[in-house]
Amino acid sequence: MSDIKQQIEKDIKENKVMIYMKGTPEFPQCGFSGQVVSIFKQYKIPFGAKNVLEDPDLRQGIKDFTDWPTIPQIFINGEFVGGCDIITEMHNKGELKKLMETIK
Amino acid sequence: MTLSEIKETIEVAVPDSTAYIMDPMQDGQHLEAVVVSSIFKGLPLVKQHQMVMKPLKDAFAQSVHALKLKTLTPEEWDVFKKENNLNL
Repeated sequence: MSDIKQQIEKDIKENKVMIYMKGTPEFPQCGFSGQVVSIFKQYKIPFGAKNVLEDPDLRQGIKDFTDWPTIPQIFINGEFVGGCDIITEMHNKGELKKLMETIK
Repeated sequence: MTLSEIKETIEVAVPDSTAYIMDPMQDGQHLEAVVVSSIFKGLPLVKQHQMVMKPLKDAFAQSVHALKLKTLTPEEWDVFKKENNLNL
């Protein structure tokens, strides 16, 4: 388990915006993951993405890491921000825009 | 897990809360929930949602695929009800 934890910690440190999703940004394999990717693409800021479908240990490890039972999961500046619902609500309220400006 | 079991799980885990669980697609997998509690006041949205999601780990392991979640303080709930003319 610990190497997964270290891997996650490395991912979220190296990627200001990190998305754990089903599928890839080009080929999301779940509506919620696709929605999150399309939101972040609007900000034109590079983001890291990992396909949990390719790594069952990661798929479970990330859920344990954040105490959050679903995918996608989004980290900004190394902090867990939430899943599709929260990102969409923050985006609609302009809160995500403010947060993304702290990254530029 | 049935809707009432999910409701109970949330209400036990989240202090002073009332949970409304809906199954719009009638499939037991894609659920919606509104959870009202004064404890959400001042908490970041992700912390509010984590409080609700954490006790539902088993539910997600079994049948639930997605849960569209709305967390509200009692004051926000009153506004939400008026806006959506709900008489709950």
